[in-house]
Amino acid sequence: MTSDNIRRRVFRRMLAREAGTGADAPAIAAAARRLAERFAQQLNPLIGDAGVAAICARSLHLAQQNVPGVAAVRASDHSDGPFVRLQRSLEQQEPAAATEAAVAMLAAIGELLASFIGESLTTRLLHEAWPDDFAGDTIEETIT
Amino acid sequence: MSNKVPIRRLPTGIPGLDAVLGGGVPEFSFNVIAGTPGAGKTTLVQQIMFALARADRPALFFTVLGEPPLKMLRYQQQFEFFDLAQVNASVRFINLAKEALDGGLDAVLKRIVQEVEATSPAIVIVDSFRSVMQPAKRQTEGLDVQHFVQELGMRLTGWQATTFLVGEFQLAETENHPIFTVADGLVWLYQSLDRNSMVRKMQVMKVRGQAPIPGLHTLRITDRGIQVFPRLIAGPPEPSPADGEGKTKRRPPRLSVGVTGLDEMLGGGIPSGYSVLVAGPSGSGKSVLATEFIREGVRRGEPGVIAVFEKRPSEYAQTSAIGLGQAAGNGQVAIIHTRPLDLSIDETLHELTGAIHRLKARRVVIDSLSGFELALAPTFREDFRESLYRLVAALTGMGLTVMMTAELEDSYTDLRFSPHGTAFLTDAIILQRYVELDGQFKRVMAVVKVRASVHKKDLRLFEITADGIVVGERIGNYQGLLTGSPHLVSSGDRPPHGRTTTRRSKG
Repeated sequence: MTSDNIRRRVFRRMLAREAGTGADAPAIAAAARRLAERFAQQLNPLIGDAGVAAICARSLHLAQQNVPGVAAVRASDHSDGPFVRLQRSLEQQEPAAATEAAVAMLAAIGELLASFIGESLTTRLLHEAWPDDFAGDTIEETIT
Repeated sequence: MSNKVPIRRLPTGIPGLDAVLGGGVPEFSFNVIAGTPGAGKTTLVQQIMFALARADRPALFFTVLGEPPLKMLRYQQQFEFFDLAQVNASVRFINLAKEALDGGLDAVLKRIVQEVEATSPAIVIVDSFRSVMQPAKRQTEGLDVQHFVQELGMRLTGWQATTFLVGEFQLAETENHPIFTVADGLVWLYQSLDRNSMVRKMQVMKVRGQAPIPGLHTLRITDRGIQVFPRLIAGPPEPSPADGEGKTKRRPPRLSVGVTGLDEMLGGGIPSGYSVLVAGPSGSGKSVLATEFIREGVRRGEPGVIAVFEKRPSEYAQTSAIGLGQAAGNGQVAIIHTRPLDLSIDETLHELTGAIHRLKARRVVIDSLSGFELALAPTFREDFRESLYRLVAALTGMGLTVMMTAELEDSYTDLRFSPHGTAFLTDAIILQRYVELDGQFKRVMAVVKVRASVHKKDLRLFEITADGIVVGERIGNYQGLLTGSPHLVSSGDRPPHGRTTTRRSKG
């Protein structure tokens, strides 16, 4: 299983836990926003506001190519930050579609980051944000 | 017992830099690393940071407005010293772009102090410090640059942090920029361009409380990071054994060259610790003689190091016809092959001394000076003679006996011993020439000088055989051999102004 697939699985699990069993779209949207903000909070000291904004914008662009639900986030009102936009857009989708879009968005951030600074450092940052979900050394070890 | 405060010097983890700094970085010092873009400033400080950071005393690396941190992390992790396991553990990267843009120097200082008080770091780096200054220029209120630098220096030293501020400064700024007054240490990095070659250099302009090695030192950046090659300063020359109280001084032992007859010509071999120049035209047998010198050392339990600048080591060992390849395999001989064409003398010396210490070598060969000069970056060729002087002084100062070869154009109107004007640097000179006798090219050899020693002045024929050099008879009945027009002198008829019977060589 690739690192990207593992990250998707972990994000999906975290999203379900964060939103609660049988959650509706607004609960999923709020959970997705909290996870994205937690990731951004971890990245911010390292790469700054501008770095986080650039990574998020590019991740949205990449994610929408595979998951149609993400396109709605991109097209939404740009006056708010990317995470508010993410939440608003997901709230208006079906729960299943909202989940797919949220997972695609979070995974895209992880994959893009890994392409810049490598899997090792990306995994380390994910581990610092969610020590119970991501192992600190290799991403594979967490899942198996 | 001294009651002065001891200053601990921190090892930088950069080979060669501690020596240049005069023993390492003084603990709690406030240092500026300055230079042009691409000179290696960030690499230098990060290598120091990863070497010194500990979990209980971490390092803080503040990025400001220079290289985007994402790129910095991407590229710097390619170096071996960049230990991913230390990131966010003993090494923390903190971006100050927002503070610098929105809040100016006040906000930058406040955030740095906050982070320092929270983590109590041993090492603090601000990269680029110059970019902190840019927003400050537009600022009309709040801290001015001088106040900021003063305050930062006080705060960080007070928190027992050793600080490095990285910045792109111009040399002219050293006179009036407040940072250079406050700094305890000032290291300048350069990229020196000469024709098509670029050489990296560094200069330690000041280190409070210790004596750095003055001058420009070369450095190289590889996958392993930075390596500095300290500029060698030759100490005072060793007094010659025959100088002054020569009669009471012990004469140095002699080293056999390994060529029957040549030791006798040299007055009993080469005095230990001497430098010898073997000069001659192409193909005259200089390299053969040099390898014989090394082989004889191996036979006598004196390991040797050969720096080859023209042939490859394998070719060299094969063509030497004296089994150097086997000696090299046994660890008795090291053959160093350097031909990157951008070397400095100090880098070559570093390679040589590494092999010398590893083998506990007693003999060194540099073959040849012409190849060596070519291997140097153009910027160093101008100072070749001075640099060679430092190299020879360093090697002989270590007690090594050095043999160097130099190619000479076989001129019959100009008797010189080295194309580099380096003959005077050496203690002994062996000259090889071709002469024309009886319609044949013959090789002749002479010992031109052995400092403070009696030696033969004969011109002796020699041949190169499968077993090495075989020295023949003295050419006794000819005059003018070195002029290209030798003439035979009748036996018993060689008064200074007497008649001579001459015979033109057949050509």
